[in-house]
Amino acid sequence: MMNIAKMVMLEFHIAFSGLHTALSNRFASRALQGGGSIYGARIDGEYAGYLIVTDEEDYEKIVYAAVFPQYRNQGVFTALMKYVMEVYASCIQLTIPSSHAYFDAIRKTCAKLGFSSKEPVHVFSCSRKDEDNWHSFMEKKGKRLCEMLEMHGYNAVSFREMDDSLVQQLRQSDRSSYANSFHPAQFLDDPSFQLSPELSFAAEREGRLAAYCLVSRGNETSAVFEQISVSADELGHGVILLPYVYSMQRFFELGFSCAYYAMYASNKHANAFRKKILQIFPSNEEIHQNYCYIPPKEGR
Amino acid sequence: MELEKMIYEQLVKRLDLDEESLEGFTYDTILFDLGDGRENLGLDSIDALELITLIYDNWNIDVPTEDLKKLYSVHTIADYIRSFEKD
Repeated sequence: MMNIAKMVMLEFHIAFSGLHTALSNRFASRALQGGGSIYGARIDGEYAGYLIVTDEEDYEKIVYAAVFPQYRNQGVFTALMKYVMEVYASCIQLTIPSSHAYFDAIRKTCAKLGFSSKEPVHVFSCSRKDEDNWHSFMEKKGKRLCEMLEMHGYNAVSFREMDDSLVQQLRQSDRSSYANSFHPAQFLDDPSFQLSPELSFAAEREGRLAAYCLVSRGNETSAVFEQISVSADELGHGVILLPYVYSMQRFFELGFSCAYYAMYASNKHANAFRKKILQIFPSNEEIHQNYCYIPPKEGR
Repeated sequence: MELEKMIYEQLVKRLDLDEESLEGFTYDTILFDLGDGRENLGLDSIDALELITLIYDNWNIDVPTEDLKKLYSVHTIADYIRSFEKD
């Protein structure tokens, strides 16, 4: 017999000690600090699997799920999904990497439960072994282009040293100011995002924030470019190159092994960045498929 | 037309433009998306930065970013450069 209930952090850590990853721990911490929840499923009293849900502004997001090997193919994931669908009265979203071992099974489960597929996210990565390509780009073009931006009064500043007035501009911006899906403030305020002030850089001109790269630590050796954004006033000037170059220089100096970037194909500015800049690194792209469930209006 | 030819050659070289993308190209071809629905070469903001860099490197003209919107074809770039030469 299966039972599903909310879990607290200690219980989660003990019950699923064989299933934890750095990512699941990070999501669990983020969920519990930010109004989300962890749901654990037990079969005949034994822990079988869990699902982590975070509370986003307009929807709930299933960010991680795992089932012990001995309980797989027994409907644990489906039961957990149905449970959270009952609990929440709002839209629920989840994302599955195409490389996931159970991608097909999860995709079919989502379809059966009434989830519809949405625009996928393209995740790119680069690694330490691409460092020569990076230096070659900097010698051939990057250094000169950054000099031109600096000549035009743009300055790169790390988030570690950023003036309070620039931080306030970021906090007071709305999502459209920098064409973001998420407000940047959550990366500044929520420690579970593990923002790296050393890797995150902004470009400012005359005290106005023009562009920035917000980078978090995925784990000890990887970095995630959470936001690569340009102010609406500065679109079309190439100013994103400055904070990005500084971020990548620090990435290599600090000895990180891998960096990740996620973009929607429909984001034309992101596509330009991808074609011009990310092409420096050999193509390493993975599709993350997005799904969304919208509960019916009646009976809720 | 000599100036236009030089600008074209610099664009091809600095922006790594390939033959396929230049099919049907004229000196009036719009280089960037101006947001008016007109067909264009699809150059982006990094290309725009490359453009003002090559103008500076070749003609010693410092193009303010605010003037970028004037530089949308080889002809308009040539006209812009000529306006400095007259000065």
